Amino acid sequence: MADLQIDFAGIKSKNPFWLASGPPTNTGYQVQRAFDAGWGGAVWKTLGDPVINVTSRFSGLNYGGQRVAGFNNIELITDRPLEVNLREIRETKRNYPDHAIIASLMVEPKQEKWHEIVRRVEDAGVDGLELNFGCPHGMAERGMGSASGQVPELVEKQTYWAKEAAETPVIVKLTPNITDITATAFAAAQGGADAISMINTINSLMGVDLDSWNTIPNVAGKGTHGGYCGPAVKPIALSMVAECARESDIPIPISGIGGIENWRDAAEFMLMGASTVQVCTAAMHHGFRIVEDMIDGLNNYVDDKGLASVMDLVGQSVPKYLKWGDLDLNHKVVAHINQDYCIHCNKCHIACEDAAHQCIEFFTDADGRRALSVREEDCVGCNLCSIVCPAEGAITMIDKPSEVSMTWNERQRMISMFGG
Amino acid sequence: MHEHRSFLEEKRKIDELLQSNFHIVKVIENLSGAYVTMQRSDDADDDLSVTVHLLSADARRYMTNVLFAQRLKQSMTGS
Ligand SMILES: Cc1cc2nc3c(=O)[nH]c(=O)nc-3n(C[C@H](O)[C@H](O)[C@H](O)COP(=O)(O)O)c2cc1C
Ligand code: SF4
Ligand code: SF4
Repeated sequence: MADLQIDFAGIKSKNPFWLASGPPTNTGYQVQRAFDAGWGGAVWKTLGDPVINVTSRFSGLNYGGQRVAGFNNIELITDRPLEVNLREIRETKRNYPDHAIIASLMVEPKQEKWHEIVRRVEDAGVDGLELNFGCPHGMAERGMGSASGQVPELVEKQTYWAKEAAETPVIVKLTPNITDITATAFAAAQGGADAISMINTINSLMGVDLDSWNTIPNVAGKGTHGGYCGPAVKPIALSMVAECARESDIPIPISGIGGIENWRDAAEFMLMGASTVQVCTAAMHHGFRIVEDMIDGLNNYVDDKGLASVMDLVGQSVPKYLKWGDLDLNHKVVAHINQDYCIHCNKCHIACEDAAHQCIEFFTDADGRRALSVREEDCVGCNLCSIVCPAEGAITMIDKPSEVSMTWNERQRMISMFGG
Repeated sequence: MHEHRSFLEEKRKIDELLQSNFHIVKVIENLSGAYVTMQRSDDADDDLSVTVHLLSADARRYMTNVLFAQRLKQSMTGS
């Protein structure tokens, strides 16, 4: 039985699975049920300046057979009174002292506003604070959320103000709606953040109804941009975590968020440098009990890897995530078609012919049947055929390692010595 | 499309020059590919130089590997 406990910037949690700030953490009733189901921590639905939410807030992207491949919302922060939330936080902490409760906060970018809210929520007994610099709609029009999260100076300054008043660890939650997330992550670290979390939702418009021409979702026929999340955003979130994890100027722990649905996703984020993971959409889609499989799966995985603690996973893949210019240009992979598994759908041939390097050819096999094979010398190893192939095992990408490696950066340095 | 054929053709040109005791002295890369100037090695009595135009990515990769090998050999022989 592996040790799943984590220590995240001083916040202890019985496992790395936290609910992200959102509808599942709106009330004490929900958070307590989540803790009963097994979640190690919860980031409370963002508290802050008063708002009123609209109805018709969410929409789901169904892709092929998969429901909720992506999810979009135009919900703001909590619209319940601060006193009610604080009472429920206090009660939840009393009933569940061993679970991590993080208060997510968003106020106007003013020093006194940050000082006031930090003091009030810490008084309720939270284990840490998460500054929400990420919400992309509504609050941003009022200078909060991603509007301040996109400006490194404002991230640094507000983090500093929160830290001035805070006694518990401060996590800064970053917006992905920025060209280079390391710029704001660095600003958070400069402001004194104890940790960062990412990602909040990505600017999105889910669709347009072709009959009514209304946006999806719409409020009385009018729409606005929302925040995108769920499985579709996982690769974007993972790359942002990795970008920050490999940066030595950002030497603080990372909580990974975005499209996490199961223990595998969680393990990937941890390998890429996250020491906790947060989940919102999957809990909304499947309910709190998904955490049971997450805990079991991660436990078995850590055991199978022969590790004592889940913390031993953190960051193991970061040294393997490089800049493109440091990849080996001499390494080659080529596609190979396994005739025993091929169902002769020809998709690989069409893909390679129309969109790759025209090297999957027909031949007649010993029994006189038409079959396909790869002309290896022209295959650039792009993987496209294996991606489109519907028959498991029919196309294998085979490594052809070279004896010496040569990266683009090494090559350019060498060529520059010869006048190039 | 047999890009491999153009690679083999360009590689053959480089290899033939290498076999005739040429080595790379200059490489210019631009939008049209790589122009690789090769000269006969020092002990030859003329300073004949030849410029090969490489277009294929594989040939340009190959040429740089030749450069690395050449540098390694030079550093070992001190030449
Ligand atoms: C309906 C909804 C409401 C959300 N509200 C908040 C919020 O109040 N504060 C916050 O920091 N993030 C909020 N988020 C963002 C999530 O915490 C999370 O960063 C994002 O959804 C990506 O994770 P996921 O793919 O697991 O959903 C919300 C997300 C959704 C779907
Ligand atoms: S890997 Fe790319 S180039 Fe090679 S056979 Fe497949 S599609 Fe063609
Ligand atoms: S896509 Fe796969 S199954 Fe279809 S012909 Fe190619 S190898 Fe066979």
